[in-house]
Amino acid sequence: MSDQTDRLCRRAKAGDSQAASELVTQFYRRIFCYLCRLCGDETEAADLTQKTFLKLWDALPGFEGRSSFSTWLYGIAHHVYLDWRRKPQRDDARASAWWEARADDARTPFESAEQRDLAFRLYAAVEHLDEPVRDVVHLHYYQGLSLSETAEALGIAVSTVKYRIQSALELLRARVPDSRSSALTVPSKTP
Amino acid sequence: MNNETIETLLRKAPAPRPPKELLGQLTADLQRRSCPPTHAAFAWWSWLKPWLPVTACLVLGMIVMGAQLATLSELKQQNDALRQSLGDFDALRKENAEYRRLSALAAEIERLDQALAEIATLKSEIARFKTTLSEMAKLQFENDKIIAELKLPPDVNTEMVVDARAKAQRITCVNHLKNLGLAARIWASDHDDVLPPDVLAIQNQLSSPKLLVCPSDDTRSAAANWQQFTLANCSYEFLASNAKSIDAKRVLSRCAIHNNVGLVDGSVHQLPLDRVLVEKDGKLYMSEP
Repeated sequence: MSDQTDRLCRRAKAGDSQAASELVTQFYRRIFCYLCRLCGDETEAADLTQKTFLKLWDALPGFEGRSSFSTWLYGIAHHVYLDWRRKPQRDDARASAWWEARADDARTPFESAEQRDLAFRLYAAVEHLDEPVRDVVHLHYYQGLSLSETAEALGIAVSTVKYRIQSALELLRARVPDSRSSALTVPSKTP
Repeated sequence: MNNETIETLLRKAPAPRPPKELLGQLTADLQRRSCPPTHAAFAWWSWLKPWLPVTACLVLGMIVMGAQLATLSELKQQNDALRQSLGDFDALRKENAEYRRLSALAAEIERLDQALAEIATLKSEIARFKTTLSEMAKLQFENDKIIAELKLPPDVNTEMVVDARAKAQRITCVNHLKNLGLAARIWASDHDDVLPPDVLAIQNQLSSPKLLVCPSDDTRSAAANWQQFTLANCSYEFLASNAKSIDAKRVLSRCAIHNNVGLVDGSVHQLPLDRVLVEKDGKLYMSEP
């Protein structure tokens, strides 16, 4: 955990509202992105982000710093998402629709339309993976958490994370055929 | 498509932009918690945590004290019950003491009644003795009269005078024996109805040592006073030493000259000179005529 985040966390635990505001500012975008990619609705994601931070303040006295603050925060967000997922009103198709909508966004970082098309087919395929595998993909690839951070956030072993990542890649490779061979493929590293 | 391509594409996933008002909402949520519960709750808990052992000890001590107070209360109740029963016991004891006192008083009253009865007996005896004394005084007067009459002129019949004189002396002897018997009975009344051992013991009860000399005894003379008295100055035989005064018919004293016999009951009998006494179990009695 970075020194700055560590200091902010300690100050927030001691009751410094300014430090707590800085933590919100520092992490709210990431949490929102994570939740929005999962639930596929910005309004729901905003609501879940609020719930995540409310739970954060309630649980902050018990945070002993055994993991990084961000990992711990992602873990809270994950549980908030799981609670939301158990609700019968949720719409599983909303996430896929969201990804499709993003595909038309001109601000995507892809070099070409074909790459963009392939990427979004990939993202759509991710949403059809099993929940445990999908959660790992979101945290490790979308949110950029390391394997150990992903494992801590989900409360599983690092080996489990690796296994699920491998499964995800195999499934995605099988479900998203590459229509272009040379332009899009990154040369694989020789073993 | 290889894994690296997939991973590269995954890492390029578009990041949704949060609504502009979201940060404001999150900050407002934070400010609504003006005293962050973390701070208040955590400060409260951190303040209390060190005191938990002391608090636990206090609570435990209070529980123990409560149990001890309950035990103490129970012991007090038992104590009160025992005191109550002790009070009852004290009352019983007092009643018993009162009963014993009354019993002792009753015994004392019975003893006093017996003493009164004895006193009444002694009074009657004393009255009888007084009667005897008055008779003896009369006899003494008669003796004196007779003696005076015996001092007659020479022309009076000497045989009659001698005979009268002998009769007078015998009567005087009877008088002496009566005095002796009375003195012995008076002494016995002060000594558990036991007769004296000898005439020396009844000096205080006899008015004069002359009463112990028979007027017909020419071999003895009366002692001038009790200090000079010895058994040689006594004519009479004392025959019931330390005897019980209830043996009324037993012979107490005897005049060997006249064969006058005084009994334990105080009576004196002028026996014929040939009349002998009968001995039974070491005691002398008058024989049947």
